[in-house]
Amino acid sequence: MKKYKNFIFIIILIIFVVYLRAGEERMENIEELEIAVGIGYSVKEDVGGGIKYMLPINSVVYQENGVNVSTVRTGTASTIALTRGERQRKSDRKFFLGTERLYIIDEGIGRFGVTNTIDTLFRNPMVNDDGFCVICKGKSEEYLKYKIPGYDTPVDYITGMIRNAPSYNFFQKNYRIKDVYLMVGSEGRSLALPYIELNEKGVQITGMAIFNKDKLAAILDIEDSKTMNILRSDRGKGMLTIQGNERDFISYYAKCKRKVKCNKEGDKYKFIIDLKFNGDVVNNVMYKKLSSKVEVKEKFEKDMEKKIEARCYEFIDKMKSQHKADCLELGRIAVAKYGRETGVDWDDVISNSDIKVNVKVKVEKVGRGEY
Amino acid sequence: MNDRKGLITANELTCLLIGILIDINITMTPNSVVAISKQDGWISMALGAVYPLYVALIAIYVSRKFPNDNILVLSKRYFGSFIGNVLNFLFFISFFSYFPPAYFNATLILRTYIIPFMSPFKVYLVITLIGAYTAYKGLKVLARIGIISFFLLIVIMLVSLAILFYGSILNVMPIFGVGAKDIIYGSKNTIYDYALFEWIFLLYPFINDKNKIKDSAFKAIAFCCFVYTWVVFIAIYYLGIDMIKKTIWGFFSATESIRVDVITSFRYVFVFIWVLIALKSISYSYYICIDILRNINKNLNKKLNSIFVFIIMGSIVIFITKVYYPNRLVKDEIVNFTTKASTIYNLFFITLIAVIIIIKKDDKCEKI
Repeated sequence: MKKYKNFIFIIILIIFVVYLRAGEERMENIEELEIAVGIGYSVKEDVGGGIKYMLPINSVVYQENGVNVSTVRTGTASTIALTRGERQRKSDRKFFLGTERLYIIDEGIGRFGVTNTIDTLFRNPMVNDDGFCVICKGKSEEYLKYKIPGYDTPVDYITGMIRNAPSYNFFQKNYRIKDVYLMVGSEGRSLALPYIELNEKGVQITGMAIFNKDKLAAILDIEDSKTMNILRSDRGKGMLTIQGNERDFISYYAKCKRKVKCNKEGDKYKFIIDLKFNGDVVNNVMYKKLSSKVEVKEKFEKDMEKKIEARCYEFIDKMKSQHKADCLELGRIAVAKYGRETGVDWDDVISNSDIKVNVKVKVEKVGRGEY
Repeated sequence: MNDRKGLITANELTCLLIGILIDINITMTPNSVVAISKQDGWISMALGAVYPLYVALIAIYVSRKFPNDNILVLSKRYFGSFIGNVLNFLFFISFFSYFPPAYFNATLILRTYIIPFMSPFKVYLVITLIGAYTAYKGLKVLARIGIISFFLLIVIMLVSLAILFYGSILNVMPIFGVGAKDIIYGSKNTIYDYALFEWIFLLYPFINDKNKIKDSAFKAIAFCCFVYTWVVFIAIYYLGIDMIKKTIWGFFSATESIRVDVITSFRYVFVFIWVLIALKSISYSYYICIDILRNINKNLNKKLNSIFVFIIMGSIVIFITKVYYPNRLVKDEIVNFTTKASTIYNLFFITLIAVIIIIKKDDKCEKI
């Protein structure tokens, strides 16, 4: 018996492994999978007055001959999860989730509320949390079906667009779905996502969509978006311009740093936002001898400060009166100083609080000379 | 004993003690402390170390008086065979109560994150085989596994440093904002994590250098306290308290923030490391339970050496886990009760032994 000990052990092990594998689903070959790369979220008004969810999913099929085929399948059902079954009925392959790079939520869902959408994504451990999330105009299906020459899928194009947006216009890096979870679910924070539009020229970012809790509050044009991004984020970079007429103008590419102080007087909160710009003059015909005279440089800095300040105040007024949402995430700072879970509605409080902006502009470099 | 001769070194003792404290349950720790202490949860977590510290102090005292007798022998010596064995058996039950939850946690995490297609029973079987076989190999092997998982833990800690880039210090502020009362009250939720340090009462006879027990115990507690505090802190730092409440495994969700460009899903690497740590805890539990049973009856000692005892123990644990711990909510309710009961009993038991040793000081001198 001792002799065969190892033998018996191996036999038992084999039986065990066979038992473990028996009856389990086999994984499919990659050629037999539909690999999701982008998911869209839309609502469709039903005849009876209710709504239905419409989820187009752009997936790639890797064929044996080396050609990748991109398909869009749309599932329509009364809940988000039910669309899966609807979609599978139209498909000849197994659906594979986990490598998607883009989540396109359209205005319809935004107005209806994004909680359901986000809950479905958050619950599922298989989804890719690194995918970007954007808000789009019209139906999300159009964007996924849009053909861009040179790209397998429009998802690659839009993802690249969002990834590279931060180099200008003070856009942020945190438009991934995992940041969306944090922005919607935390006290004193608010959701703001890039807004994309499809027109005859193609897909482009045309602004930001801001949310009040989980509902779309407003869509900002690109100028307002820039101002909001400056005021909202701790750091960003972008181009700022003072323009006299079409010949005289000066452009300034700057990095911005934000610091916020919060004070409470009675029931009223008071915020002081310090913005520090530090950057280079990119072109200048307006201020003569900017690179040689200190006074000119200081004058430019003063003018720029005034201009930015005016724009910031303009935006803050708009935010307080029109949007009525805390899209600068000031509640977050107040919460960090005066305690959490006090039951305060920060959208309300920020709309009624006193917000002051101090801007400091500094010219670091002027390039290699002045023409 | 399997390995009377194979004594363990001071470093191995440290790793064994760290191993018994740190389980895969650490990934849920942020959720349990944040419920009461909110953003100051990490302070509560650090305060919770008082419990193992107390156990360590008593263990150091007892081990000085009786360096070669573990607590089970002592209880039989002072209370007689019958009462001593009853106390020892209750001690066994209190260790055993942490056993099914460990199975359940490891399986649930595995089935949620990597192998949703496997049935729980199959996962239990694999865990049992690995855990029981490791425990059967004896203390020396467990100690080496402890060392490996110590380094795995350090890897996890280093990786989680990267979260510092993504979160915000605003989430942790205001520090001391919830008040001292809630911070101290919140630390009661850390008992489950700091429990089972009582194992030191069974381990000290095996250490080769008796003077280093103190060092090892304190090192282990300091390390665990640091790891726990860091895990809770970093989870709050990245997720914030509102978000932690929405998750089940707060620390896992926090590590999702780390983006490694080459690996699409860093989570698989991470869960894999955690599974090894969970398996280690389970094999420790096997060893402890069988060890206490051996001590209760010396006659059974020889019979209990076989691998079949471990298999029987495994079957019992699988049965209990399957029947009494069907889902997470029920498990939480049972664990709430068993943790309290076993902690109170353990503290009572070790204090009782220590008090008796103090009282009967003179007796002992006569005996020697």
